[in-house]
Amino acid sequence: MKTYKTYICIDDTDELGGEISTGEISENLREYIQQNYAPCSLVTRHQLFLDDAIPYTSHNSSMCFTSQLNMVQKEAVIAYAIEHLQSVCAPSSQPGLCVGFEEELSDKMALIRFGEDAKRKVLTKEEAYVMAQMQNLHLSEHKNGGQGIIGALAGVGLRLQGNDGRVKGKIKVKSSSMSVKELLALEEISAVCLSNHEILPQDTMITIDSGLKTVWLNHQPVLLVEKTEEGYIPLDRESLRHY
Amino acid sequence: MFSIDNQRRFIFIHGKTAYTEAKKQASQCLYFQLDKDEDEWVTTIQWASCYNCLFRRWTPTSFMCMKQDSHEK
Repeated sequence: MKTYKTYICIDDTDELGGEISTGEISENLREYIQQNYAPCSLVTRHQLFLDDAIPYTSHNSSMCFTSQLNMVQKEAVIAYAIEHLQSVCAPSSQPGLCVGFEEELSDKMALIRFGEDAKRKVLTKEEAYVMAQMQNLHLSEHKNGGQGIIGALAGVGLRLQGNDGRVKGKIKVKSSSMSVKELLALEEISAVCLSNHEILPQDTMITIDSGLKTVWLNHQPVLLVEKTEEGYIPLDRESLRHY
Repeated sequence: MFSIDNQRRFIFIHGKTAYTEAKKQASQCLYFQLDKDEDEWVTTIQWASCYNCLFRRWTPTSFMCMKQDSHEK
């Protein structure tokens, strides 16, 4: 059976001070798919609009990743994800789930615009359902008001756009200094750039003092670095917060 | 370091990039708890900071502290 690039995105699964985060649940789903069906991409975190009219928990972000699934597998993943969300999401959360094949999208630019709009204005559930239906995407709510469907759909749009978000997790390396070439040999890093997106030569040495955090640019995980008096170092968390 | 808005919410007055003030505030807070989700930390974590606290809620220009007890005592 033919397989297709499949987007999986969730939002609003936690509550303030709660034990489980949206990031953790997205990792649960990713592991399930990898164990049962197919490899998955890295998970990206997409920052959405902050406004009093939006009932977000603390930061209003969604988590998205992709896999390569056939129709039967996609339906099985949706069923598992719904069951998992219903069992682990925080009592007051409003989880939303979006799943779909890239090939079946009817208007990619419209979906990307929806994602970009969700970063700068308040959108409604009705708008999300209309967009999801038009794009042949599964979109479902699973507890309370189900406001998380807006972020879940927006996350797919932003992942499709390819230039938004930080990659979930950190890359642990043992060495305190690595060349760009060595970093590119890691499967979690596809490019090493300055913050102006200038690509560094492969023999450039990068000084490393903690785990590496990448951002999603040009549809790939990119390590951003800066030049200091001591040489090149990865951008710190403070500098990455706008991604 | 906090103002109280008309909905009785405690808003950090220094905004989103006052790293020193956020660290100082967290060091004085009995309720500080590091966010369990490392991907939501926005500062390096050698020091406690309100910016990485489980009980901060981001707003367009700053954050509000959701542990109101800590301010009312």
